[in-house]
Amino acid sequence: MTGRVFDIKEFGLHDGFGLRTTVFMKGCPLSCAWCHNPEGIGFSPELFRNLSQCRDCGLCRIPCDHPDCQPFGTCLHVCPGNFVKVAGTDYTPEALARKLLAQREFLEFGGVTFSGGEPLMQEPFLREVAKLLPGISTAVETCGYVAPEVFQSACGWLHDIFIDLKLFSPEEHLRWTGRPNDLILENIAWLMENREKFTLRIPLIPGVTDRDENLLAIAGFLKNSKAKIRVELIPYNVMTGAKYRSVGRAYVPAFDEKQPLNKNTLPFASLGIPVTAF
Amino acid sequence: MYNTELYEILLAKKHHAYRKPFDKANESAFTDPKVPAEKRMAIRLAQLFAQETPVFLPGQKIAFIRTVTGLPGIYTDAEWAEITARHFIHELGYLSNMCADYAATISLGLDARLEEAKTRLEIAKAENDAEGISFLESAICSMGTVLTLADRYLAAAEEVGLTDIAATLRVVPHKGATTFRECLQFFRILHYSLWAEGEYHNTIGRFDQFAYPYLKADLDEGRITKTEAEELLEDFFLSFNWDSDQYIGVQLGDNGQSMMLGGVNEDGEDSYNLLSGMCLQTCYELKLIDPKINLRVSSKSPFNQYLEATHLTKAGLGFPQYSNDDVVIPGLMRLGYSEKDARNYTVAACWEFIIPGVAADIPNIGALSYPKVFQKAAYEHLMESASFEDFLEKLRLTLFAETKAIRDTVKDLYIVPAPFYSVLMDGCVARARDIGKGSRYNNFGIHGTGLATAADSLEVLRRYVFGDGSVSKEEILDAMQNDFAGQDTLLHKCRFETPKMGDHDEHVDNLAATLMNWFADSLEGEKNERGGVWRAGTGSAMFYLRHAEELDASPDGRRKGEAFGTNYSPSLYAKSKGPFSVIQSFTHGPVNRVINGGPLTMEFHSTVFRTDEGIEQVAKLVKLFIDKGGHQLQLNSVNRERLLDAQEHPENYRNLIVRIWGWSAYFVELDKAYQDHLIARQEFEQ
Repeated sequence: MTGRVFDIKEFGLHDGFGLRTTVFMKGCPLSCAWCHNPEGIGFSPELFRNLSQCRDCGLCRIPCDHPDCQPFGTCLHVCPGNFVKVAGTDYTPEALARKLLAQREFLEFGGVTFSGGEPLMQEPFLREVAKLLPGISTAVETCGYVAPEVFQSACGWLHDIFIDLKLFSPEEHLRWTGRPNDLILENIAWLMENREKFTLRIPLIPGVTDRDENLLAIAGFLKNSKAKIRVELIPYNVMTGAKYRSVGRAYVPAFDEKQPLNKNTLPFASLGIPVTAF
Repeated sequence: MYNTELYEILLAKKHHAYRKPFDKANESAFTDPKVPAEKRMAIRLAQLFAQETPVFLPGQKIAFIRTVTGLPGIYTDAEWAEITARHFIHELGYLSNMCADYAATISLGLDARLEEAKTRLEIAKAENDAEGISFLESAICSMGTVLTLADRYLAAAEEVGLTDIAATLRVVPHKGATTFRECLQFFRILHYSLWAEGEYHNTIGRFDQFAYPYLKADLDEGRITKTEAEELLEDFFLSFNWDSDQYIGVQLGDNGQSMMLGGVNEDGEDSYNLLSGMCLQTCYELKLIDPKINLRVSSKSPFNQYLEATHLTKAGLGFPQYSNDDVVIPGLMRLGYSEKDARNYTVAACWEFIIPGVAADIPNIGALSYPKVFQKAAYEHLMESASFEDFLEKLRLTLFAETKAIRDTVKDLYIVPAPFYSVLMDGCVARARDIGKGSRYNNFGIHGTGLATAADSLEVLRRYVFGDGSVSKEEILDAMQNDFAGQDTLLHKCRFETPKMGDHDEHVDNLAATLMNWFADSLEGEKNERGGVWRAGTGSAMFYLRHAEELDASPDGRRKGEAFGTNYSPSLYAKSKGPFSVIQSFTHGPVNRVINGGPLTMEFHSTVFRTDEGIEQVAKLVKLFIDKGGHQLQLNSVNRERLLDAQEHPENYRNLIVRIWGWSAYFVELDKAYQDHLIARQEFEQ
């Protein structure tokens, strides 16, 4: 069994409590218009070129005989600035756990967060990794678009859950993320019923998710939760498009990036749900 | 901030209007070769202070600014040429980089110190000790000079009705300080006088330790409120900046005004106090590069100290620099320092560990370049080495020869006499000898530059040349000599595909540890000409540039002309996996054996410090560094200017972390448009 990772970052500051390493899993069922990790969407390994620094020297275009370069038609072992990389590396659970355990003395004061992409697409792999990390807290950042049985299985071994809910309207959700939100709502409903606590994150996209109508609908949905919920409103950041060119894509959002954000916490606060707007 | 007017005067340099150049009319009195050097130092100080004009700035509480600029030398060119021909001269020749025992004189008063010197002079005369007589007469003259200027300041303060300043100057510096304000004013006068005498890199030492009893007594007796104390402290901090543009250093700001806070006391108990925290806070408010804040911590330090300190890191000054009592104190004791003295350590101008009052150490007398040793060994012995172990042994011998050569350069050290500085050093008056002649400790320290470059280069040999055979000896030597010309894939492999020190790779980290041990071994048991020991270090000072310039390319993929990392840090282009791995690599080796000083440096973008959670996480990281046995650490919160520089010179900022809400990133990897945005956003945030 292997899992596919596109990045591992030490000292993640926004992925849970304490000192954490975040593992970014490749592949996501959604394709949100505002995704800031475009190299995490597809499951296949892909070329990632830092075009902001590329001096177009052409060395990587000279044919080479390295086997790992062949699928990309580009040499990965010659760039003078190391600007040519592949996003997508396969690990066995043991190999990934070994990497993480090497940092145990830090992670004992925090933990490991699986992010992505959508990490729960590779839930069986992550479960194996977690088994090999005794005493280390684990968290997930999920879009929630996961089969309920997989989701519930994950909740059996994860310590902290950060789940997104972008849009309450199924039609709007389909329009902006490419998928309906039925599975997501079902999984959140299950959390509210069965989990002690979790964090719900709403990315505030100007004119899309930050509308009062959407926030009120989400707040209403969370109203009768048995679980303690902490809501985090994460403002849209105009840095979002940073990496698109590097994976050979254009970033052309269909919303106005510069429109002021509606950071309205009231729908949640008025229902007594702890809420933070960042 | 309490006195914004005073702060504005400083920033606008309005006080420069009072300045005038040194009047050299009577220069011959202190350049006369027939007069002993110590007397000439005393005469020059007397002339300088006689030319000084007492000036009080609006609302200023801690008086004394320099109005006379420029300090002519005491030697003629011919004389100095003769001295330098016969002696080893350290840097500029003047005493530097030490820490005076301000506390003793602040408590006793200069009148008492003067009496002590006069009494000792009678003994010296009775003993016909010519050297002692000349030294003591110079010291007595200089103390009188300082007292005279203080008296003129007092008269001027009385004249303009500055009753608070006058009341303070009626006590100090004649008598010992009895209040916090008197202590600060006394310190200012002493420190001001050291600069005026001509010494440089004049450090401050453990200010929170020696000044706290005065503050505590004032607070306990209700003589002062905490707010009033903060106001005084702010004024005191400004005092380090009035004249600092005139202080000598490698570049502006390199003036060595290091202040040490916290740490254990003589009995080994944590002595971080109210004043320690107030100093961190004052530094945060003022955001000035002087005084330079250091903090001693240990595995026993409460987490709150790290939080208060990290709050200061947020200011982007690179303060505080941390040092670890658990490592430094035993390391110094191993070098022969007594437990009591080791527990009282502070830092010299940058990071070298020194002992206030009792040490005449020169902790920056030389610098070992590990990559130079590596290059020499490679060019002379790589071809003939049958195994990696063979090559390592050759490298070891080369390193031993190199440190011996460095030691051999230090013969017949000459230091320009410093009679007033000597008054502030323990036992100089009692011994009737200048501090330049030595003290309880007379140890010499040698920096160690380019450790990561050398360890990374060794790893390339171990892994490829002697390991899988994928690179031949000829290929790697050719790459070194010809700067990897035409070897693009070899360069990529060496530079980007091989583990580096900072990646928490056991092989590289072990190689670095081996190099550190050899450096220490090569100095162990060796005595310098003053009977002191040699101390190995992890600092680089400016040598990370100079040493790199004189070398060819190195097998780790460092191109010719590229600098080493500063101090004890990863190579510039080693894009490490993150702060955890860096800390693990840099706490692996025997840092307690190379304890001359030199920090691991890590840079974080200021946005990391934006939230309380971010500050807490950085504080935890620092605590783990200390708990894991790291010896010294410098954290930088990077500001806009540095980001702009990072854009111009991305190669110098590989590890610069920027925080963007959903993800952390390396700044240099961002698309330029987004870099620009981050820079613009920074401006709004400040």
